[in-house]
Amino acid sequence: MPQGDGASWPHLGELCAPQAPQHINKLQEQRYVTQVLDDARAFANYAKKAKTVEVEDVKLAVQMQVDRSYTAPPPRDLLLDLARTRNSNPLPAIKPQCGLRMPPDRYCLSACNYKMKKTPRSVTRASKAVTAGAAVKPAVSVVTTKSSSAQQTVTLVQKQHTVVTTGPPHKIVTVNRPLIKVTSGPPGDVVPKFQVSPGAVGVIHIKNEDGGSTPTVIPKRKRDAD
Amino acid sequence: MDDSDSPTYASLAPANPTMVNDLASVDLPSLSNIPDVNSNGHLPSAVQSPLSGQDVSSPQTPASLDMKSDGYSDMDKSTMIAVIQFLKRGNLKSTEEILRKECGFFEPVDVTDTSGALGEEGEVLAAYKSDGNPAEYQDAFKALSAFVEKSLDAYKYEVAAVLYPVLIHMYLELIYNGHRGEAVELLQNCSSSIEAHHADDLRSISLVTSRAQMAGQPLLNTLLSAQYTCRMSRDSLAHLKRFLADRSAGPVPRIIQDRLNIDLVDGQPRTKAQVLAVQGAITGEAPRSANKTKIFYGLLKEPELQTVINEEEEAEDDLDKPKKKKSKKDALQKNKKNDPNAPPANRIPLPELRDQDKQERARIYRDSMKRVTLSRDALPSICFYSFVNASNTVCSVDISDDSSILAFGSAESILSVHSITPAKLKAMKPAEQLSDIDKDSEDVLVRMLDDRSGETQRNLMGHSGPVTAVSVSPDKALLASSGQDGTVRIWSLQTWTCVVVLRGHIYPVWSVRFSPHGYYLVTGGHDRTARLWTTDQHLPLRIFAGHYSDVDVVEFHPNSNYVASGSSDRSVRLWDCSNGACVRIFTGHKGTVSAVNFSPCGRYLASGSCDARILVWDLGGHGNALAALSSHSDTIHTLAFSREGTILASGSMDCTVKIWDFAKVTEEGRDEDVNATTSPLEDKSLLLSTFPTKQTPVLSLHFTRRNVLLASGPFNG
Repeated sequence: MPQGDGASWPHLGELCAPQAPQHINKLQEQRYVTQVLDDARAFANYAKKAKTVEVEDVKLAVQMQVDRSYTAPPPRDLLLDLARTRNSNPLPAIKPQCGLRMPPDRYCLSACNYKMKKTPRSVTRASKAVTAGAAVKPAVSVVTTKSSSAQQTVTLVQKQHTVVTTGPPHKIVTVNRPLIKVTSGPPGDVVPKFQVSPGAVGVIHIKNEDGGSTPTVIPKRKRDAD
Repeated sequence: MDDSDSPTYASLAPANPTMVNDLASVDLPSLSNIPDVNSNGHLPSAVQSPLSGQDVSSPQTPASLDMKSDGYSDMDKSTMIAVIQFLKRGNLKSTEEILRKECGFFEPVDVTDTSGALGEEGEVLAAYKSDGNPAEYQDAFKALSAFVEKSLDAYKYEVAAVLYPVLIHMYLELIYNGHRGEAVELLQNCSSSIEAHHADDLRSISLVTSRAQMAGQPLLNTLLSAQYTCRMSRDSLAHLKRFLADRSAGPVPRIIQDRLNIDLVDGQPRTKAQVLAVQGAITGEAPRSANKTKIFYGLLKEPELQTVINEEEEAEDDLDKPKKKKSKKDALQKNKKNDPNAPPANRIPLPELRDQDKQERARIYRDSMKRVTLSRDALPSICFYSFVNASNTVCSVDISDDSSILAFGSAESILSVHSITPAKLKAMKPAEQLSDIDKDSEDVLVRMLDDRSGETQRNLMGHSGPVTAVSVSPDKALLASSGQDGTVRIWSLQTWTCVVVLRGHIYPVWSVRFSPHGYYLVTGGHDRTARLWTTDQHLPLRIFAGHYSDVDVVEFHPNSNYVASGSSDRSVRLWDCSNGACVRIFTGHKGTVSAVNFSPCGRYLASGSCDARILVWDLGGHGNALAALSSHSDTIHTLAFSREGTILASGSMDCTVKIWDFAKVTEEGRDEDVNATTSPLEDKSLLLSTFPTKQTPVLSLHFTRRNVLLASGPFNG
């Protein structure tokens, strides 16, 4: 609630806690009125007129409130102008043989919309990390830091499309070879967390902290990068 | 001087009031340089605006003024007030005191808010400033309506069309000049002579009771920015002019000259029915110049399907075969038959046919063989899909062209897609499996879908407001939906995800349709525009601006060259996709237009509105209705033509589906040229049958390729 000048504006101060649904309306009304009058007084002060609030000040304050909350569709002459500009370009020819015709990628929703987060653990070592090919889509960097006892935490933010590319230093596993280069620790450390099925191409089952296992799909490209 | 920010006054010595800006020529003590005041007591130029707030008809009261013999008696009180107001606004207190002392004018004057504060609108509204005597407005109007009543029947109805615009402009002038009482009285006494269908507009205008309210009112903006058009024949116009010549001093001639656009019609004056048939739109009728362009309403030439057809051809050729097959066969065999009304194939770029499209065409052809021919003796079978437990939420329904997918949008912002054939909705295989399939195989499009993922129903979520319209693309790969959140979304029906969000309309979008050839979309929204999009651009290609109120429904012509839009300003407009121009304005509906559809032959346009009537327009003509079908009792939400165009089906909020004989409408209409002097066909026998439902308003109608009618609506239990 705005700190109105309780002495000069009448207010329903005794209803500070809404005790019934209709009080909420009253409180909202009071808030609006207080805001408008506060703004009006600010305008009156700024105009250096007499310190009393005039009708014009209140009108201006109300107008400000309206402009803040509502907009109207553009006026007709502006629309006609816009239309004239846009309609003067001829319709573009259609490129043949496109398959599914989509706008450029940045206007589509087909991008990968998650990335892997580094967990704030002390990193004992950089790895011979195998980084897969250029991150075509945002990199998924899985940091598997480890301490001997600690779990490896992999945070996977859910989603949609396929791409999992790997980034930098710490890590990850390329799937197509059942080769896990992780940190120095004994390979045994890794095993409980990662299961790479040698036969399956491109599937990692990563056990999350919550226990679920999420199949992640690695696209064909990674194979080339290796 | 105490006014440090107006340097022009800095050198003003208090005793010398003559250096005030625009009044530099006024030498107050001697008053000999006052520019001529006209008989109404107004200075013509710079001080005009301050006077408009004054009550101009108040009598002059010089008695309280101390006359200076050498000229003050000549000066009006109003002029004095104007000068003092000007001084007050410039904060010239001492000047004011001197002036008052010299002229003995001690009445308090308040600086009222004038039109300057209203900004641009104020300038436009200032056109309403008038000097007229308010008392005479009502008499003038009554005289006008008496004149109309007494006119010969031949002229009466055309001249009566001016009554409504004259009344509202009189009202607005009175309000602007502050004569609220007279204005209210005017409306009360005179609205009886106005037709009923103007009642809503009159009511919203009557809510405006002061000048401050006038700025920003959308209806007023419309009335001000566009002149009200009345069409009259020469005889009626001459008749009206004779009347006006007698009353040149009054407000009526002035209003008619400034605010009305009287369009001349060659020919006979129209009858009551004819005049009534075209009235209703916010800005009156459509001027003749708006409806002159030639429209290419023919269908595009069918592509080569010779090989496919030959496999399917049947030996017999009896007359029961649907017309489409014949025309297709003819078109194929002759292949040079040119419809003069058809647009050239490259008028707008259309996607070329892919193999899958050709297969689809073959399927269409096969279906057309088995199609039931509908006529007044063979009514369609109707299959009704009711949405149960969804009475407040289902807002929009669409069925794909091959009638296998039904998609509906709900007020809860969820889109739901159902399969209404035994085939299930499959999703695309995941990426690594896709790499395995053979891309050159015949049925790659089937193989790329994962059989195990087939479901009968899928939900699509993404909108942040009620989904106002849905449209399935002709190749069933994409779905377009529009929402009240101002976005249009394109969804892929293979990956079941949203692919593009089109954010051109910022205000609620009320309707979206795919073109019959795919690739193009048209949308209409609250911002009074309809826009043409393609699936591969994120900005609209065309903006169809011209409506005076929200665009509620849009539809493509079968040849994809034109778009029809129906709007809350009660008119239907036809737009050309190639250059965005409005080629037709159809007026005549008395309520918001809520449904539009083209006949399959492309020549006729049917539109239904909230006034429960369907109007049929001939695109070969010039904007006059061919037929008016009235039998419904509530808003008509959907219109559908049978596949050969002989039957029109309409569904409405009154929970019925009505079947109309469209063949009769076209055969009677084709003989004569529909122009301004023909009245629309209104024949009770056009209604073939009514199918009532039990409390289910009909939201959508769709004829399958074999002419079975599918209807759907939410059951309001």
